Amino acid sequence: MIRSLSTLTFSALIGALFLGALCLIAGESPVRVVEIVIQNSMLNQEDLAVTLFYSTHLMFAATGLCLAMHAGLFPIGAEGQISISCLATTVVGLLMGPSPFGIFLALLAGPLTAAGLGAVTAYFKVKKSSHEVIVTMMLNFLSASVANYLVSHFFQSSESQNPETGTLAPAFKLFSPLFSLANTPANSSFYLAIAVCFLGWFVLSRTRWGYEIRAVGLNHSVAAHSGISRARVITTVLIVSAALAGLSSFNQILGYNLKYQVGFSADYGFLAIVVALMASRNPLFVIPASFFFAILMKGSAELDIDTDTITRDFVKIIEGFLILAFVLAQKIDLKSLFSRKRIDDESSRA
Amino acid sequence: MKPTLTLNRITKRYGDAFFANRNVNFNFMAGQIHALVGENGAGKTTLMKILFGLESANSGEILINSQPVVINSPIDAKTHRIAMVHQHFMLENQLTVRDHLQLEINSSSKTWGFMRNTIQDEKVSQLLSKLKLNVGLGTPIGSLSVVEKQKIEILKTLLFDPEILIFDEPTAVLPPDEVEQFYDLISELKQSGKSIALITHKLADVIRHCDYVTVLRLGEVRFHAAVAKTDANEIARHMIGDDTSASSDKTKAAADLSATSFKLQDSERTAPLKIYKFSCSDLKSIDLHVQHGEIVSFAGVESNGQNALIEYLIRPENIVGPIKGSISILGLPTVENLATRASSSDVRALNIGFIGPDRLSDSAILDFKINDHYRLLPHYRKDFVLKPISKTTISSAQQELDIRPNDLDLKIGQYSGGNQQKWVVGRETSHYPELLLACHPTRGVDFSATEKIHNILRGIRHRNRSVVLLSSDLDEVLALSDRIYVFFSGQIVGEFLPPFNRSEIGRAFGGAKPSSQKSGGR
Repeated sequence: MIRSLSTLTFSALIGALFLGALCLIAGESPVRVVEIVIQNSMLNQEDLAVTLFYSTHLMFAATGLCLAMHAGLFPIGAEGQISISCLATTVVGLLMGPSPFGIFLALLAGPLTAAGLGAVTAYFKVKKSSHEVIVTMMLNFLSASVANYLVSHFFQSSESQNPETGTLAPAFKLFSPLFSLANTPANSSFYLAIAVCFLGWFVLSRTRWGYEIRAVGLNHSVAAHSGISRARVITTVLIVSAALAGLSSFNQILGYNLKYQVGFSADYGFLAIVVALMASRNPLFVIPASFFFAILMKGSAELDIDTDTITRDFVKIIEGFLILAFVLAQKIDLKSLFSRKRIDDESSRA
Repeated sequence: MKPTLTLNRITKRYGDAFFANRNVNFNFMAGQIHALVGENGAGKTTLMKILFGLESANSGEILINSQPVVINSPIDAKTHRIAMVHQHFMLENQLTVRDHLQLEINSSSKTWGFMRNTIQDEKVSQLLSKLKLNVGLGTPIGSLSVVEKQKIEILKTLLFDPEILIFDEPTAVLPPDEVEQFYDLISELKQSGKSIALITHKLADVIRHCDYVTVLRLGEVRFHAAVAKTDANEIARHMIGDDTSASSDKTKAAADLSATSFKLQDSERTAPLKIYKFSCSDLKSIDLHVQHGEIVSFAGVESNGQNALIEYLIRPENIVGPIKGSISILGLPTVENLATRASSSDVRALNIGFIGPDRLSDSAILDFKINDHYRLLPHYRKDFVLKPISKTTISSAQQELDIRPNDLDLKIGQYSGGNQQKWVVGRETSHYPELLLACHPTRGVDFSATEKIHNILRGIRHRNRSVVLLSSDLDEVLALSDRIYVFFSGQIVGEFLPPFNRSEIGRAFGGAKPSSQKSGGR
């Protein structure tokens, strides 16, 4: 807990430091940059709605990643899982129509198809010993291509110039908007995302399955001798982690857009990796870390317009620094710097 | 004869008190094969690593032709024409034979990382034919057989035309028919005047192929002789120690105690462990049983099948077939054939305890705090939502075994090795197991804790429950056991009852079958 907290603050601090330095190099006042970012992400309902919408996406995917990373895995498939789950929800909704059963199926379609992708990853990992990074990377490309193909060949909306599907009936809007302003994306799946973070934390720290995940991640040989099946843990965690990323379909389709747009995702699945790392794999810290990144995403969009030298790619650079800072924070035992509770190996010997 | 190389009073210390080598003397003679034997952990490999420059000694000297030399790295060793063939191959599967040889001749010279020297094909092909090795230089190592890989390792060393050759358990990886070939090669090297050191566990090979033998035990030389003047029994006796009187009282007391508890036994109940004519890839027709209220030892020189058997009891999925016979633990048939064997989850769900032979890969996760450490025992993670572990369970283990420091908020890795071991013992006995598989239960713990752990094991027996003990410390085995099975090359060569006859057990360690099926108990 303390370790996660210190990693979080350390990463944020380093990030801020680099941010400042970067602004100065680019000839822009860091204070002004922060001002722009905050002004355009939180200070009015319209902007805040977008920020919360982003953070909902990040929380779902990053919580799943926390679970998988605790099992010693590093899947990067959330991006593909998000787009496939959103497409599946839309397609099921379009095909089934707004009957209660159709709505129910559309609700399940997202997490279930994503879980299917997770199961494919697990199959290759467990049965074929393929590395999950490679498999999920491939599945990301595959998902994007399949989604493009399906949309352009079968579900293209006749009313739109953009590559997108037709719109679902209003009855599919299961998650109501958080703000009364028209067309704001934030919806009540935001609360679900926060609940998922708490649930993720509870599962990891308080349940048998969460314990088994941690044991396998730390030392799978000891875990095996303790009767924990690595294959079972890896399979279940990859499936659940994917299903959580698939919950993004609630936010995107059933809470906001009601249609699938090709390329709708602003790399949520990849950003979620950074969020999970920054949260030090603790789902509780995913909440502030997601919010932090959502602010950066939303706020930096205005940097193009409001400053001369800094663009929205700024966020990408910050991401890079944060990953570096995270790796650093892992190497340095921060706790030992602040606390004296260290055990001298010699003195403990009888 | 004058030795070509002498190791003089070599001492290697780890920490304050652990001596891997203590005042060890060892001589290499030209044209002689010198065997270095001893239990695992006796210090054989450490000694040879010191000679090869992979470890540095705390004191002592190395003399070549009576001149002291300094060997700080394998490169130094090579310049003194010392070569070593390691127990585990130092080969890279993707590279070809030629790559390895190139690398070898370029690693010792100061070439700044450039491949300046090229191998002489003539010399290599000579060596290849000498080794009876028929592979092209462009063959990737990964496609070679184990035997061929070992020959490549030997070939690498011969490129230097070394005077001193060290082989660390060379035959461990070889199939039986290849072992003879290997020794033919060794004796050829011997005839060309090389000095050879051979680390091995196989006493029969020592007798047949070696000229001298040195026995290390607990880091010290316990025995040294010309092979012609000794035999396998004598060597085995020195390997396992020959102080016969030390534990006889304890053994007797243990025997008395077990006799009384034996009467309490309910003969209707099935034996906690029954192994019926079990064979697999590395075990042959293992037939044994463990009754209620007894401590049974699986003894033998390390890696003669007893370690594998314990692993298969806990992790049946690791058995490599074909399987014959069966194993049942606490009434659960865990192994009958390859397809239906139980998983380690099934086995661990039984009321058993398991103290693993290698703490860090079997029993303890260093990043876990005490609570999570206890949950490695399935007993403490029965419900999906985990219940807290009672404080008394943990603190009673802490007090009983005097685990220090007395701070339950630490990670396991923050305790010293001995205290980690105590936490493992504490955990695996905290649920009063019906059957405890205890491998080296006192490894790394101090004297008083050893006594405490022994008492815990006796306590389990006293409750009419059972212990399987695997220990490389024969004194411990003799002090605790009610019966001893001695393993030799994947088979049980003898079953012993108290009062134990140390020398007879020693002979069984060397592979000799005891005169009667059940020895002792006269």
